[in-house]
Amino acid sequence: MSDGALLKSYADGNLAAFDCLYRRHKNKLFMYVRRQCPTHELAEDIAHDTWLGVIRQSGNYSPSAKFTTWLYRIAHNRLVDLWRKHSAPGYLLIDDLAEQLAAKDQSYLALKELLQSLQALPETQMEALLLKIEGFSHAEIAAITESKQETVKSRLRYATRSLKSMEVQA
Amino acid sequence: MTEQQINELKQILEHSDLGKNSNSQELDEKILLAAQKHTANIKLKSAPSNFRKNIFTPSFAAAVFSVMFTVFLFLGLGKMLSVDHIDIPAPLASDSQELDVGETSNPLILSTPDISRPEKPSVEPTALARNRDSILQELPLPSVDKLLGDMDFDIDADRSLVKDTLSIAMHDIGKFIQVGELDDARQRYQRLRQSCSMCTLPESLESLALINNGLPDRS
Repeated sequence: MSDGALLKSYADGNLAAFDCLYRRHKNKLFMYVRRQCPTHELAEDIAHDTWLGVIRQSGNYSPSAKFTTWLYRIAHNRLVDLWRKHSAPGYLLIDDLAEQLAAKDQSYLALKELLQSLQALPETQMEALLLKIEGFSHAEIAAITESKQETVKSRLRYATRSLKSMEVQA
Repeated sequence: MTEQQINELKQILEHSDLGKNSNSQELDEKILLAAQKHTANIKLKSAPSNFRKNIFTPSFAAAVFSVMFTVFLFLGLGKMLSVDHIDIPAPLASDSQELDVGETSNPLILSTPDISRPEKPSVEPTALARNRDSILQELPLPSVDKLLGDMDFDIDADRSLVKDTLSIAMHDIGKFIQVGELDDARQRYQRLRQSCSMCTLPESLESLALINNGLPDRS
């Protein structure tokens, strides 16, 4: 059953449809949010608010948009609110990882450097990159982040360039 | 960015998650509970429509028919047997308020008084529709942030909720206008107005476009 059909079924009162939809997307959505939040607790808050948004607006869902695009746009709006409140760049699990990475071998140190490089990116570029990694097309990323496709492409271009230059410096 | 670079990054990030790739069970329970409450509300709201459906069940319809038939029979017989005893109060009318029966060959038919109605302005409907279309095609609609800026909210959660609703609806409306499906855009706008009780939006999409561009609303 497609995501859209499940949501429609839930909007008609079928709780099992929501359960199925939630289990299908909860982990991916949570990691997308978690990579952009400073703490696990805050990521849980954002994920909670996002799913509440899905529940409350299930009756308004328009099949013209893909469910995942719609879901991630709700999450995006929550993240933008978070960025405004904290006025800090993206986070990417750095705090959680720091201790574990210190005890690992060199490949993990390279990983730490990469994560730090990602963290240094402006949040719009990092978000575009994370959405691309999640498998969204440029058009879908544009719809989620409420921007133009050209803007998304240039954000991805800048992000890649920045990561490469950071790699060279390191 | 190449596919290879994306795959490498994806792998690296998946490694970096270190097993923390899920939210807590407590959160699962909270979300599913909220979903359950929402479903209960939907069922509660749709209860009257179930009642309406029940009206058309054969047994209910038969019962209604038999009651109506009895009443009709009773009244019919009553009229036939004792028509003189039924007093129908006449309408109160003064001398100056005589009914104008007019000139008609059938005395039972009252002629309709000649009410001269003001003529409608001679604007062709198609021209009007074209005008409304051009408003949507030519004037930009306000951004979600601008719309939100014009609204007042008691709590932040309301603002976030409205923002989601608005951004999804305005995106849909923009797409419809872009592809020339203006009626769909109007319908989507009306659906937004109905579903978003906290949104303070003008009556029509054309009005929204006109107000946004500082023009008088004559749509």
